[in-house]
Order: sequence, then structure tokens, then C-alpha cells
Amino acid sequence: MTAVGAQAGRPASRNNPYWLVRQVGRGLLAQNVLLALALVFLVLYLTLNLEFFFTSTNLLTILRYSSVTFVVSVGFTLVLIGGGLDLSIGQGMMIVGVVSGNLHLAGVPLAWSFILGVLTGVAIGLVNGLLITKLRINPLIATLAMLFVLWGTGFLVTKGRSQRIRDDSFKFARQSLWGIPVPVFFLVAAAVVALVALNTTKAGRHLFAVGGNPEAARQAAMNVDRFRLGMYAIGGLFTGVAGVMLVSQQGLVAPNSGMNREFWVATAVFLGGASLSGGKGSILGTLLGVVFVTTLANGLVQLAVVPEWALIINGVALILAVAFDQRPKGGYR
Amino acid sequence: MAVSHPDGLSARPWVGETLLPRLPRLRKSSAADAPADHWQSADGSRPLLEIRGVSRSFGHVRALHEVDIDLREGEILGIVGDNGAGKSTLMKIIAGTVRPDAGHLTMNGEPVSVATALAARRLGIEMIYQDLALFDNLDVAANIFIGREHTRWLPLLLGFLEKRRMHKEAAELLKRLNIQIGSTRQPVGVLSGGQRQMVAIARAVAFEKNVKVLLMDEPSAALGATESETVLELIREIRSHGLSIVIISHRIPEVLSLADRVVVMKRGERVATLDAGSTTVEECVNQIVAGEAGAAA
Ligand SMILES: Nc1ncnc2c1ncn2[C@@H]1O[C@H](COP(=O)(O)OP(=O)(O)OP(=O)(O)O)[C@@H](O)[C@H]1O
Ligand SMILES: [Mg+2]
Repeated sequence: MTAVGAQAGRPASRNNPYWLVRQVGRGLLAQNVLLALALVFLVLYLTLNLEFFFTSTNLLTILRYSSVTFVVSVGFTLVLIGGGLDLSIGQGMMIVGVVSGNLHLAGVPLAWSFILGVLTGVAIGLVNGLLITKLRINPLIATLAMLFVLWGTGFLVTKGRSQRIRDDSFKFARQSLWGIPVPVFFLVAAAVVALVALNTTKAGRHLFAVGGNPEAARQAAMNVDRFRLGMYAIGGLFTGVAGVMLVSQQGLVAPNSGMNREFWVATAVFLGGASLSGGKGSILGTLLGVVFVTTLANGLVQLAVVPEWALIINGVALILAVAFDQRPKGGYR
Repeated sequence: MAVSHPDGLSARPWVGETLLPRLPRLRKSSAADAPADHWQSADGSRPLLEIRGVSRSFGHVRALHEVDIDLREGEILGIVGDNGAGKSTLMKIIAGTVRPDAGHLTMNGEPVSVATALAARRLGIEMIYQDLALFDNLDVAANIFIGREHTRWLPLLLGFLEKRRMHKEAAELLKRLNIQIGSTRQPVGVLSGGQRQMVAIARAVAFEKNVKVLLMDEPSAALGATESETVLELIREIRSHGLSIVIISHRIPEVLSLADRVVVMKRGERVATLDAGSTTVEECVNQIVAGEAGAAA
């Protein structure tokens, strides 16, 4: 019997002397490598142009701010990989902060204020998931609607006023341990948990499957809707933790603390290689994306660039990231 | 802790060596073997699968009307017919993804229900869809094992993947089926059409010990000549291990060379059942174009 698929086995191009060159070229084109290079150039530029950029204080500040954004971005990434989208993360973080802060101000024990805050995030994720899987509302619409509802609720509850929190133990995220800002420990924990779950467990494998080809997942006897419901809840869990970190860091219950956060997160995560079409994305890419976006913001402030420019640059970066994702396989013609 | 496979390795005949002796290899049925539909073999056994009086409408469209078809053990049955003749609908009914309005199925003479895809799978019926249902973003081994991953330490979705074991078993499976794919670590998205088709076939036959019927909807539709020949070769290989195969195709010569018998469908009805060994392409085409239900054997 002839060997089945003989002509389709090893790529014939292996014999091509340029094979290796091309492989290296393709590797260089990998999104994360490009992003890492861009980050290196950004850091170099800022170091050369700013007296106080490459100082341990400033770098730790960048890391501290990256941590909050990263934790919520992990949730955003997981949801994107599973073929979903959650635009309500910024306002979700704000509500989580309002819940935690107000419970604390009302005298609820610290741990419970934080736990109930995190659970608020999970609940928001669950409602998003139910709207999307049961009522069959498009994720963009469902979570955009959720964004508005949470935003309005936040202003109603706080009557539009910010409230300062005096208790230092509430502001644990401002502290440092062994010289490392506390939020960085959250960053590491979130990264490790997500990396392991995504790459070594059946749930992670199925997340890629459900996002990559939901129809095929159904035919493989997966319960796609139940899986996605759980996925939004877990996304909400990360929103909850990030929300608690944020309110603790700011020491302020503020109804505008979630504003525009989803844009920065989306830019970071899309830069990191995730895709709106699902089934694609990585924790490492998201980490790079978050550090890049935070460093950029930090640098722009120090360069005394008007903040409007930050928005514009953010928009351009978002377009670049998505265009890179959509690039035709055979290159542009 | 292997959660997903209580029977362990032996549950995967394609990985072990239990497969070959399962059934004697069947020759193509000779011309003397009358291609009747209520077929009884010399020893009086009945066909593996009997489809009786199956009808299905979608709104005003009558996709299937009182179709009777037999599938014999170890045979390749071709189904041909124009676009919209009802071929895919018939297969989906057997595979349990479409419910018939009327009619019933028997397997080995016993009435069976294929109300869901899972029920059909339990009976040993696997279907490869026209779009293959592969995950382009996952590698070859992940595709073969999807939904049936080997895991350890924690139950259900929390289980840790035994990646190395799955790659090893996937490679063994491909080797056993004589499928040559460079590495089981390649994402399926980069494979050629023929390789994708072969991964889909390998996945369909890989697991259940009791896969008896393989349904294939136009497996060579999108393939070039060489690639479709390799896929046909794989289908023959699978059949030689004792499975019954139903294959839909628009390429008449291909069906005649591959199948034992050919069913011609037209406007939701079976208009003819031809013996592949003795019929001709002209005859087939003639039945597709001018066949009348009830006129054939
Ligand atoms: N889910 C559905 N809803 C509505 N009509 C359907 C559905 N599935 C099939 N039909 C109709 O039933 C008829 C038979 O379709 P079917 O797909 O079985 O044909 P086919 O023989 O497989 O055709 P092709 O060779 O083009 O694949 C067609 O008229 C089709 O439009
Ligand atoms: Mg069809």
C-alpha cells in the first residue's frame, strides 16, 4: 500500500537553503517579539529623554500601576480567547471599589469588605454571561449595556461624590513587602494561575477550542453555553480582584475611577496578540501589552504631553494591533 | 488518575493491536450479489443498519420522503445525487443531529433511537461533517483528543493534560492509519486540505471501541486529484478494518471505484441502488438525471 499523504508530509521547503532564514524571519514577525522590541525602544527613548525615567522609584511605580491593569487584563484575555468580549470591566472595577469602600466605611470587617467586593465582580460577570448565553445578546451590546448600567449605578450610590478612606490597613495596595509593591505580588499570582490554567489544564484547552470553533466544540459534545457562562464569571473574578486593588491603592471611593479603563485594557490585550475572533491570545503577550501601555502613559505624562495625545496614541496603537491580527496570511499585495 | 477512559488503553483499538482481527476483510460484492434493499446474506444475517421510511421536511421543502436504505457490515456505500437531493439531511438523521418526521432505524435487527448525536455515538455511529469541525488554532494531537483528553490529578475540567502521552498516542494512531503528517504539534490551521480531512477521519475512528459506522459528507470535495486519492486510500484502509462507511460524493467515478454499492437520491427520494462493480458512470448519471422513485430495484 502506498503511504497515505506522502506528498503532504514534510514541507518540501525544508530543502530550500533559505528555509532557516524564513523561519527566523517569521519568528521575528511574531507579534510578541515585535511588541517586546517596541517596548525596548520605548524604554530606551524615555531613558534618553527623561532624567527621572530609568530610576528605581519610577520603574516600581510603573510596575505598581501595571499590576492593577494586568489583573483585570487577564480576565479580559481569557474572555477573548473563549470567543467573548467584556467591555464592562472598567465600570465593574469602579462598582467593586464602591461596594468594598462603602462596606468598610459602614464598619464591615476588612476581609469581608474585600471578599464581598470580589464577589460583586463575579456577580457582574455572571449576569453578563447570562445575558449573552441565555438571552443570546451579542457580547459587545450586552457588556456595553452593562457598562452604562454600572456607571449610572455608581453615580447614584455615591451621589457623584468621592470619599476618602483613612484607615491605612484598607490601603494595603500602597504598601511594599521586601521593597516590592504589594500589587506586584498580585500580578505574579494572577500570571501564574492563568498561565497554568490556560496551558496545562483541560479547561484551558477547551477555552481555546470553544473560542476557536464553537460549532465544532458543540459537535465534540461540549456544553459551549455553560462553559462561556463560567468564563464570564471567572473574568468577573479578575475584575473583582483588580477593583479591590484599585480602591485600596487610591484610598478613594470614586464614581469615576473606572472611566476609560476598558480602552487601555483592550489596547494592551490586543497588542498582546489576542483577537476579537476568539481562540487566540496569551498571558505573556498580555503582560507585555500591559507593561507597554503603562510605560507609554507614564512616559507621556513625564514628557508633559497633553493627555489628549495619550488617547490618540492609544487609538493608533489599537488599530495597529488589530490590523496586525487581521493581516492576510500571504502578505499584503 | 485517568478520568476520561475507564477502559484504559484497550478502549482505543486504533492505538492497540486489537483492531485487525475484528472482522474478515470483505471483498467488493460481486455482480451476482443482487443489490436489493431488503438484503439477506447467505447465512441469513441482516444488514448492520436498516433505514426505513425516513421522511423530513423543512417548512415547505421536502428534504426526504420515505427513504429506505440498508447498510451492510463492512461495506462502503456511496450516496450520489444532485444538490439538494437530501443526502446530507439523511446522514445527519443517522448521526442524530437532525430529527426525522417519520421513519425508523434498526441496527443488527434491533430498533434503535438516534435522537441525539451522543446517542448515535454510543451506538457506534460517527459522522465527519462537510466542514470537518476541526480547531484550526489547536495542534493535531489536541484535535484528535478534543473532549476526550487524558488528564490527571484533578477531576473534570480542572484535570491537568497529559500532553506527552496524547502526542505519543496521536502519533501512533496516525502511523497505524498510514497518515503522514510531519508532527502532531502542528496547528491544524496550517495543514493542507487532504491532511485536514485525514485528521478528521483519524479523530472519528480513534476512540470508541465500538465505532461501527462512519458517515462522511463529501470528504474529497475540496481536494485536488492527488490529495483526494490519498484520502480515498485512507478510507479503504479504514474499511479493511471492518467498519461500514457511507460516503457522499459528487464525483461519480470516484464513488464507483471506492464503493460496493451506490444509492442514487433525487428530490428527497431514493431512485436507485446500483452495484458499483457492474454499473457505469453513464448509468449513474442517467439515474441522477432521469431516475424515478419506485422504478429501481
Ligand atoms: N436546516 C435546514 N433548514 C431548511 N432547509 C434545509 C435544511 N437542511 C436542508 N434543507 C433543505 O433540504 C434539502 C436537502 O438538503 P441537503 O443538504 O440534504 O442536500 P444535499 O443532497 O446534501 O445537497 P448538496 O449536494 O448540495 O450538499 C435542500 O432543499 C435544503 O435546502
Ligand atoms: Mg450536502
